[in-house]
Amino acid sequence: MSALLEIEDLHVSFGTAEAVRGASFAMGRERLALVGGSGAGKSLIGRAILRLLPAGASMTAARMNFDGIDLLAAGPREMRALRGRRIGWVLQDPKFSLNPVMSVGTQVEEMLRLHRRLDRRAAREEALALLESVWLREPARVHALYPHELSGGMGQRAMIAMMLAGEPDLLIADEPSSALDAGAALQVLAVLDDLVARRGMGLLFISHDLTLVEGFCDRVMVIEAGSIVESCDAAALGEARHPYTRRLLAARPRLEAAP
Amino acid sequence: MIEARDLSARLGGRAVVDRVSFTIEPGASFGIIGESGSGKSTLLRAIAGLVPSAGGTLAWEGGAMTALGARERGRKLQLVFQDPYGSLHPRHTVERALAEPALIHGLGDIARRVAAALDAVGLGARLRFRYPHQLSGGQRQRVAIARALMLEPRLLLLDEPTSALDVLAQAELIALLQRLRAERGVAYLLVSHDLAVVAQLVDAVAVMQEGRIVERLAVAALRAGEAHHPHTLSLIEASLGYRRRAG
Repeated sequence: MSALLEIEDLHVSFGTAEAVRGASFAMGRERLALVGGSGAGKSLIGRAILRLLPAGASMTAARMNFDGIDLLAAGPREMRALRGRRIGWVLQDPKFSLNPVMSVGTQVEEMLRLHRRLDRRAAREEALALLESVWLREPARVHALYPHELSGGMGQRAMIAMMLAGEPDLLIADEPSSALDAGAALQVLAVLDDLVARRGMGLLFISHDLTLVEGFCDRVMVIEAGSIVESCDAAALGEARHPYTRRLLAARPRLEAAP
Repeated sequence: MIEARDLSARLGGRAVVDRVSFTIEPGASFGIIGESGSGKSTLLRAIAGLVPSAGGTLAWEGGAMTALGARERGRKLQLVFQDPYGSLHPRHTVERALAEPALIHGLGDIARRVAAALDAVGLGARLRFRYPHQLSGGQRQRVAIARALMLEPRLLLLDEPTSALDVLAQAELIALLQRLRAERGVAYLLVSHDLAVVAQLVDAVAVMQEGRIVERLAVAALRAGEAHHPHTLSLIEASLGYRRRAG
């Protein structure tokens, strides 16, 4: 079986400062977590795959393949065709990712018309179906709402509905639940879980929350200061050996444990 | 020390805080847990005087809180927000941010006070000329706490103080807050949706839902999962992480 995404020796630098130092990994249609502290370089890896690095950053890699496509050789036009259509991207805070002056449904329809060339009526029907598929009750009502009228959890699910409009093979979710309270976070994860299982999508889940990742993902990669220092099955995270992973595990506040 | 009785607050005509009562003794630590939109942050703001109360009473050492002027209230209690990026002036250095409360209150010996406040939160004196964007998230939150301590308040109102931080910075901040309370006897009113964080920092909690307190329990009972209200039980369940549905 060939991998959905293969990355070899990825470096991302800001001038002389190297933020990602030779990251290599391959993933299939699975839930793969990329965990680490703030500034470890995990978001930059997600951005490098999409070739949406912040200004001032430069990247090199020995290899970067997505489903047989050489991303390093892809031009701006090819990348635009991939983004949203075959590789989706969900960010931490829906407040900043959704267009504040467009209703939620219109934004989902825009994606459908752009990527799937649906006409107006078909786009509306499909948009309602997508909103329903991310467990938004009363899709017709949500369709007409503007982002400021949504709670954080609803906004994030609307964002996922938008990303699904392109029917991507890979979804890069960068801290998709960190801005949400625990209940809303679990609901967003359940939606993602369902989509991976039903559509056979690959999910690169970027997070700093080990407790969440442990129960949710299939595999975990731990990144420290730009290097992937450990990789293991999520279920075996408790037995991880690398000192940095141990530090992250030990730093988790536990409800059951006395201070 | 502080007592709220049937305190209410309204936003846009809706009762966001609905007849909430609690008491905090000197040096104690009390937590309020609830989901987004449960009214817990608005409750803190009402206590700090940032949101007008719409009913009920708030007393400080037996006297009405409203009898205290804004300045006097500031010396008794201080608020620390979730995101220090929003509460620190982007074009003021750390030193200026810390000096400001002392200047407003006409305190002398400001350089010594600033140095002491930085020391108390474990930040070196060399950071005093930095701007907020030159600090990490954890350092910024320490600056916000140092500023809150400048007037030596007796109560800190903490609004999700660690939820913008990663797990390592969060653990350091929890340890700092534990130490500050032990050393200074400052009382905390901590609001958070993160039960595991709350359990590290308080003696007792109240659970808020739609503006009301639906259950109160000691922190040991929270840890042991000995709650009765279904909403508290669902919060405890959610805090344990993701469980895949069978089948």
